[in-house]
Amino acid sequence: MDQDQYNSLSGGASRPPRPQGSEVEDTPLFTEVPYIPTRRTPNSGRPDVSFSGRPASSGASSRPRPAASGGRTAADYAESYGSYTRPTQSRPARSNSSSRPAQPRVTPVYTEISWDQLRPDTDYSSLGRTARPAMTVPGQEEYDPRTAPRYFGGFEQEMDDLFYQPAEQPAAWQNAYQQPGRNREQPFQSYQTNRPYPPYQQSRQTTTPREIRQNAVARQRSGRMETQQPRQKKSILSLFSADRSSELARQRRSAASERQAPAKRPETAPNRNAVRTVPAGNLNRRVVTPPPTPPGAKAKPTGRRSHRGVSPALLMGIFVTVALVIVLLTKVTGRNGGSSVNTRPAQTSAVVTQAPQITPEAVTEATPEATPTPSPTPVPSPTPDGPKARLQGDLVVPAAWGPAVPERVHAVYDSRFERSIMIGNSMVEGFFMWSGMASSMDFVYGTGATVTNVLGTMDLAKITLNASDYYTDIYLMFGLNEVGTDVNSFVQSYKKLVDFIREHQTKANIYIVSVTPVTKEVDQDPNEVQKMDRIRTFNAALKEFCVDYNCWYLDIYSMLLDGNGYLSADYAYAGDGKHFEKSGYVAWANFMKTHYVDADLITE
Amino acid sequence: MKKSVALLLAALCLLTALTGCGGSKKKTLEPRSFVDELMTQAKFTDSLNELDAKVVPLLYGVDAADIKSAIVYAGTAATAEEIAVFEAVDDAAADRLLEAAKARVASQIETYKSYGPAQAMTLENGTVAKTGSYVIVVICTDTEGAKKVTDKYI
Repeated sequence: MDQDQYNSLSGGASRPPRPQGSEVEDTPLFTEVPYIPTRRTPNSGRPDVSFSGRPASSGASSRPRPAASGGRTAADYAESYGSYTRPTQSRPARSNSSSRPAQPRVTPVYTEISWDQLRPDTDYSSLGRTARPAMTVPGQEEYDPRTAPRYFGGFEQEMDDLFYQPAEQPAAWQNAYQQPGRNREQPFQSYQTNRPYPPYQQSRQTTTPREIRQNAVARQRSGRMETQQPRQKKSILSLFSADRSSELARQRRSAASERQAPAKRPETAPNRNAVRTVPAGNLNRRVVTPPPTPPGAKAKPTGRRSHRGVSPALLMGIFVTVALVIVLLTKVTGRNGGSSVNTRPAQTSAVVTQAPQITPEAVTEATPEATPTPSPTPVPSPTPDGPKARLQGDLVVPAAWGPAVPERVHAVYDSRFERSIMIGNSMVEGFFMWSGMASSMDFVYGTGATVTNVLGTMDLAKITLNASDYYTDIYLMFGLNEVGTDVNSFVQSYKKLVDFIREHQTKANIYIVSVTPVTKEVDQDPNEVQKMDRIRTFNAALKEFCVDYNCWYLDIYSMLLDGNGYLSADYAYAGDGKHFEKSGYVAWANFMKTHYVDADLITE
Repeated sequence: MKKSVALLLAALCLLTALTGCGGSKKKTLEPRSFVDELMTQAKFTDSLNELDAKVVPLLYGVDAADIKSAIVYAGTAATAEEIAVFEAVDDAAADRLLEAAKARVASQIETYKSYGPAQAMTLENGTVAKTGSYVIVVICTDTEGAKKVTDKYI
């Protein structure tokens, strides 16, 4: 047979190259094998073969066929089991991605041994198929091995489900079945048994773990190895035999009886000299079994039994260990419990983490010492969110606009106050000395000055002599020396001052600085006239005044308050409780740098 | 005999005259040590802090060019307590600085007469003096303690 004939008969399938000059020269390529219905050959790409059980009459068949293994041919099987028509296989469409080339149709002379049949570990998943080809069974429709009963007999399936369904481990069984590697490793076997082998074998466990342990201990200590059969694989058919079922039932009954009466001995005649076979290490050693306990007497625990049971000392040790662990856990838990109370978000921390208030003073108050020198200080943090304010460019617009100076996101430089002047009392003097803005803006102040006497006693030449549009911002601060007087006269005096300033400075924005708070000591001192309620009354009157006279209300009062509603100790000069330390004036300056209005911003 | 007695008396008179000259000698003013001595020896009720150099001319209303160096400690504006030591660039500048200092104290006295009489009294008992090229202003509630220190230099 030459190479071309060899290739033509091989059907074009990929085969190893034929060795030259070897004895294979005259070896027939095809042998007839018996049809085994339990071992289906997957579709190997060849045309379906209608197996008739008889050799086809062809020219090629004139050559004497060699006998198959066992000397039985398909015809013999056909005669033994009767005529049987091989079911046709419905082959699904092959994927185009298959690397197997198209094969010419070859009419085989003999039943052909598929190359794939010789390689049962073929992975068909590479052909683009995850399921095996469906098989049409006579009398049935498409055969689904996972849903349909067994091809050869539903009895096996019933027995399998009856005895070997691992009801106690459904998840493991299912997970193992769904492993993709299982089907690829043993496709044919899983095809037949409808389950991969390892979980199927696992389901055969019919004894409880306790019985297994007991048997193992008994084997180890008594050496009765003759009663234990080595674990071996059995065929599937043997598992379904009646003997197997009866044996399983017997084992279960004996295990149940052992559990009920573990110390009970069989009431058979005592065989004091019973010889048992021992393991290989104890060969030729006579082991004498202890005499059984006579009926009616109390069962005396044997040495083996006592060793097998749990000793009281061990129980006591376990109990003590568990008790110690519980005590330790209790202590640790108690300690953690105490700390867990602290780890819970406290109310104060919640207040800290909540959204900042709209009042811009709070923001500035939080960082009063951020910039001791008021040179470029972008200190304030933006607080545009919240229901009371909205951000419009750089301007934080409060919902209730009113006369309050809106907050700015970014602080301005000192140079912005070059055309600004502040007129006021000793507080302005302190601001002049300690705010760092003494050289950035103009100041007119007088210790003990009041808004009533400012027009007659203070030098306002900077207001009157400069051009009418020289100042863009004019800050007026009075009130701390007048809180003991009538508020209406105070407001009227303010009105006169504002009119005087607007007469000379027509383009300037006029800021009315709020009356600053005092400390609690001053508020409660009967000799002092600066009371907080009076200060609040004056500030309220100033707000109304600002609305009526189109002035801006600079609310540093709220910025200087502490949690109790008094002048914060961080800013107050303790000597009098009214003036500020340097920190207070710096905070005031920073507040002004983030609270200002544009020249064309007019109060509605 | 008469000669020897006359010589002894002359020597005694000479020794007495030299002793008097040594007792009238003053300390040389050093601004920083002077201010520190005042802060430790005298008792100030206000919390004094050193002013920025830029503020000093504005506060006293003087030309910054007249000031060679200045150390000014001021209070919170709640009191009139103050320490100022100016070193003028020359004697004329020192005179101008002295006049400005006197004007400021006088204004303060007028202000505090109605607002705080105690502070006005403190201002009246304060020290405004010139020694060499230095002009010193010391306004302290502890008038006696401040006098003891300033008398060492003036």
